[in-house]
Amino acid sequence: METNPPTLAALIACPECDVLHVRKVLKDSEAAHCVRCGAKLYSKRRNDIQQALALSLAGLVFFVMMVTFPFLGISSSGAERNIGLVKSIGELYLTQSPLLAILVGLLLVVFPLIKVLGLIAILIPLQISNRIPGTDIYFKLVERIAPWNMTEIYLVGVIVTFVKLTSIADVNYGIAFWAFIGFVVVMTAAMNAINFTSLWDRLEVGEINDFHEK
Amino acid sequence: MISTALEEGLISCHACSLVANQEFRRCDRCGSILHKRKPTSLGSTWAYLLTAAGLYIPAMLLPVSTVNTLGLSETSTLMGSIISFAQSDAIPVAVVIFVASIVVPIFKILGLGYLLVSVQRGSKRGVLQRAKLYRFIEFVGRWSMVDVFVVALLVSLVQLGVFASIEPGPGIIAFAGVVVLTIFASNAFDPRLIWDAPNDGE
Ligand SMILES: [Zn+2]
Ligand SMILES: [Zn+2]
Repeated sequence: METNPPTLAALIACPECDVLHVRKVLKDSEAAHCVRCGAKLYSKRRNDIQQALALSLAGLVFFVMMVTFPFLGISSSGAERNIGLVKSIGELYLTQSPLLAILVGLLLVVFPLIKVLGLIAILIPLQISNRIPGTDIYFKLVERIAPWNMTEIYLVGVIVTFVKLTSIADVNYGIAFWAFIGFVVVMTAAMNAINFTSLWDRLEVGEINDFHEK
Repeated sequence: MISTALEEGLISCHACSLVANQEFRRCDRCGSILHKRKPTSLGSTWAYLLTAAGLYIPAMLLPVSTVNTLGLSETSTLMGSIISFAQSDAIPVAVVIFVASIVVPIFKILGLGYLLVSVQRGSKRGVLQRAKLYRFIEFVGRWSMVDVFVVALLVSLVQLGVFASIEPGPGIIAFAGVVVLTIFASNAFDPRLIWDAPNDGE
């Protein structure tokens, strides 16, 4: 199989409208946008990988706290109840609604875990060297689940639930709730620090850098 | 003069954005199968969208939750829970749930339907506006999930036995289905189709 001529590596098509652009060398903190529709094409940020990796590792710590500590507590006329995120989903599965439990479990536990582990698996090899076989699988996995990122929406749901319950019971936040907020913040920052197109370009560092040097 | 990858006989990898010649079947860099456009984009988007629209009716009519308090049980629909928030002076919360559960899904279904019809008719009008509409639909769609999370949380929190219990109703399952299907629908849609309409130098 023949390989692409190097000039093709200098081109990028807008993912939203397909217009071809010739790649430019960006300055630090610069991003290239599509001339026709304005979609973001690629970006450059110094230390993006170190930053995103540090944030993802913090995200992993928050995730572990999120699934181990109590999430919310509720007390009413002497009766008290603390629930953890995983336990509450497990109970929902067993007693009330398996379908709802599966959906919530995927959105709040499984996908966030895939996201944080996937990012770490992408970033560590990139930090050490540029070519590690298998990295592209994690890339595709993390991009595949991106539309299902619902963690910040869940926080709004928690607030609504609080408002609904304050009239009938006392509700208090557990450690896992604060860890959940921490997780949302660091993972958002991690995703903002990196640009997937630019990370892909680093995997094939040879071709594209050769072009930029010219 | 701008030209697209398609016009130049090129193809852009949907996963890693590497540009290749159209005779390539797989991406050189990441191994993904190359498509000029998302395959069966229009058909799949229609299928998800119509199923979502159909499911929205039971989602609105069936109870989303049943509250059992001291032998009394009370069921409420999505609209009913919004009204009860408004009546208990939690107006901001009522607005959030109303927007997330009523406005956003309807807007998303109608908006994607409009994009599909305009692409199929080869419309050249308001292309940039339609591209922005698609971007906006993708951004707001997820927020509809709020009420699903509220019901799931209420069910697991309020299990105080003697005091009260809350059970999820079939309405919330249907509603969750609507949200999931509209996300599938907007993922299946290929925004590049908006721009593909034959351009005769207008
Ligand atoms: Zn564009
Ligand atoms: Zn590729």
